[in-house]
Amino acid sequence: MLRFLGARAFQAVLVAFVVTSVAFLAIHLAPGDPFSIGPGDPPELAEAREAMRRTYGLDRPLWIQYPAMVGNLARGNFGVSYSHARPVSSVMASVIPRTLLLMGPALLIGVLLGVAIGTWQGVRVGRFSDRATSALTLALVSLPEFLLALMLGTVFALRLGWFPATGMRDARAVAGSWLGSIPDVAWHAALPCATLVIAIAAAVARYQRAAAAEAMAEDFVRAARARGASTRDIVFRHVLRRTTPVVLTVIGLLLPLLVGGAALVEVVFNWPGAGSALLGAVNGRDYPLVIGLVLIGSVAVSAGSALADFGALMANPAQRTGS
Amino acid sequence: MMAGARRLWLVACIAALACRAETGADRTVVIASGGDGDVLVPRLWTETQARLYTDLIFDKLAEIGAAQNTVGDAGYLPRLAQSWEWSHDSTAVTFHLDPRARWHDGVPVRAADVRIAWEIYNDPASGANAVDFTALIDSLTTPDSLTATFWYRARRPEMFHAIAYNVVPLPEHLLRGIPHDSLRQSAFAQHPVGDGPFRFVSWDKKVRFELAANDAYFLGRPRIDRLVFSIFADGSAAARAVFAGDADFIEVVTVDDAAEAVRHPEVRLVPARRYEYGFLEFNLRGADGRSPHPILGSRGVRRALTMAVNRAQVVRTVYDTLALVAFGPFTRAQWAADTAITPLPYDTAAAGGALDSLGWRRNAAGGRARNGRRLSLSVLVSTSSRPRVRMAELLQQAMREVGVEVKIDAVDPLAFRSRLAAHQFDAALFAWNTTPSPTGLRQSWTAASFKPGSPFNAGGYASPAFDLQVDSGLAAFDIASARAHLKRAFQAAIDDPPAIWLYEPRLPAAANRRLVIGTMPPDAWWQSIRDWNVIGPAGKRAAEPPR
Repeated sequence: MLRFLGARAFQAVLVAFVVTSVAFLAIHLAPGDPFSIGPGDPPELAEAREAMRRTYGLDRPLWIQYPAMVGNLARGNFGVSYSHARPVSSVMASVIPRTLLLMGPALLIGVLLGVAIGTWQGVRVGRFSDRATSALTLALVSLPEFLLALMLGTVFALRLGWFPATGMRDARAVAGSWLGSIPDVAWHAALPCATLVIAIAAAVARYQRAAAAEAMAEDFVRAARARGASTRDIVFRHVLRRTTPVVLTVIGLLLPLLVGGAALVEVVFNWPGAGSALLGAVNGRDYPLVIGLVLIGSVAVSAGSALADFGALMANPAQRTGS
Repeated sequence: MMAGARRLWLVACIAALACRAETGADRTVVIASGGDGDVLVPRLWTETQARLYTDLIFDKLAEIGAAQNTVGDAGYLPRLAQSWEWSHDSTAVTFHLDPRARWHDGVPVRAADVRIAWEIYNDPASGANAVDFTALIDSLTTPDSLTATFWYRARRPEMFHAIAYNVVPLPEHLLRGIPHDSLRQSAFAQHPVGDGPFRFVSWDKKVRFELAANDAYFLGRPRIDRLVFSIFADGSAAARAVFAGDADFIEVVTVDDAAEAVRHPEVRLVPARRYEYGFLEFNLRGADGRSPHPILGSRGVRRALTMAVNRAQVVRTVYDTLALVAFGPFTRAQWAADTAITPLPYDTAAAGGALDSLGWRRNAAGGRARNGRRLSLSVLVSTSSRPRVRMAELLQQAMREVGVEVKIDAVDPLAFRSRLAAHQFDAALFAWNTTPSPTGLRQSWTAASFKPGSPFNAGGYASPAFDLQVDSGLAAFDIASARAHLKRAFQAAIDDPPAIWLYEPRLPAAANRRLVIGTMPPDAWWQSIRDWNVIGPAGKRAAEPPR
């Protein structure tokens, strides 16, 4: 077990280093400068922007900037965000919890829903209801999250007016207690969360269906049926236990895609989380914020994958004992 | 069990609705904003949205009037200065501060506040983006606590505008101990105390910026209570927020969003004049920045390309009725505008003939070539503007008709800026936001403004006739004379075009019908907020459309 955790921790550090270095190179080599003057800017800003470039050390060559960045990151110093004018750590402390607020419930509900739908399909493979729901889940998996987000927003916010279209809180609300704002935040989270739930549930259901169908054809199911067990008992006592490792592995694999998809969903709904902050930072060439968020994202994905693998290992006695 | 769950759900729904009702109906106005500010000290910001914030928090000495005149002081409205007077030789102007003016902490606004502002803006260490005061103003004296006199080095037509537009008094009692070079990083720059119609309340960067009405504002309390800027990373999401009732106002909507607005009876489009004009700028210089561009260095080719484009049709196709065809390097909202100048005609036959006469002969493939070189150009355009990308496609089609091959080079906004500043383009399609003053002509199109690394006059246009008339126009003290010179300058920029003058957007703002909005000044629409009113509850179903 310790060897497993140690190996995954080492892997996470390696991935973080490589991803951060690639992000540094990619964002610096991309054309454009965060403090350039452009159409729409008054000419008198040119000098002030040039001073900002010097303040943030962007006038130095990359081969000096890169080791400085690695050294700072190793000391836990992420630098100062140009666009937020405050430490990157402070920006991340604001935006990451907001993303977790969206992703956490969405992941939980989406996985439970996906497992339920997939299992339901797996039990009745080949029937009309299975074929119809399979087509639906396939369509939903194929649909990009941002498109789904736009569709839900158009129908339920713009046309029906049931939910807010954007934001995390009612912009008119007077700042109050954290507890008092829960219903408002939940109200605003409904559509972005529903988008992610649908995307996650559809993906999980596809895998769960296949795993459940395979499990239903196993000898132990036939034996249970012969013993007079009901379908409900078979599903809950045998099939779900058998398919859990598959689902956990799938979640691990889906995690990077989910993080990417969630970023676009955040932009569509103007949810002020890490995803929209990252896209804004990339567009504005806010180098320190891009690197900080990419680093945290890679660590989160590595940790999530490790957790999923660990869960799969725990759920599968055969793997656990090494047989 | 099921009944219990249902009851719980019902309670949660009621709680959520109750919460919404509690926050919805008040005199708060939410503005969907496409960007956020950086530093909340006038002239120290580097983001234009911060100018908007500081203009609401801080008052100027005088405000430009409805005529948007920038020569002399005609039309200027008193703000912190209740009056002003000129010295007999017009080389000094004395402002008399309104004794009723107070900072938001209750301290009176005094001449010392004008002095510290002038010192900060005048100090290069502060990084202020104000005009070069040392070139314009010799000194400032404050004979008493309510009087400030600016002494000019020489008379200039826009000498009053320079002060009224740039010298925004700052609270001396709060800033006196802060070194100028650390002002940007100070707590004051994030939580300012101003003297304007709104006071600062809170700022969640890139999420929300909140102001409240200044109850003690000496020129009358604004009629709205709270003003919230909801920050959006995506422009279409900002428009959706207004359509859904999450926000009350958005300063500009796209053509598509304007069409969508019609579906929402609680939203109305508000006409807006803008200081923006769009064009296809030609690069007149070769790769070394000195030699002429092998194709666009020729005045004849530039004229032919202009004549090949049916500008009215292009503008109509892209913007429908939400833009006008541009006349030249100015907008109709500027006092210097002149719509009596003669544009180059749309004449494809004449364009083709001109290219023939310049040696660019048609080949079998339908293109043109001269001495083995094809007549081929790339048009640089930013992907951030769908209308401009569409316009580039239409220009491509139009030029193909006369045998000119055009490739569209669509890049992201920062890459666009970078290429523009590095002068790495054949032709670039974009727009300038200008100001009421025609000084933008000097900054954007004269030979002196072509500099390495600068996006201004990136094509390297150098027309002595244009420069002469611009200089003469900007030096003229009477409007009629200034207009006459500037008209000649505009005509020069048409006859020897540095660009194809394409469009002046008239894209409207969108507002919930609960908002009563007067005329929005084209230089700073937000200046009208102090006069806005609210006549109904907030939200999507806020107000019934008028019958």
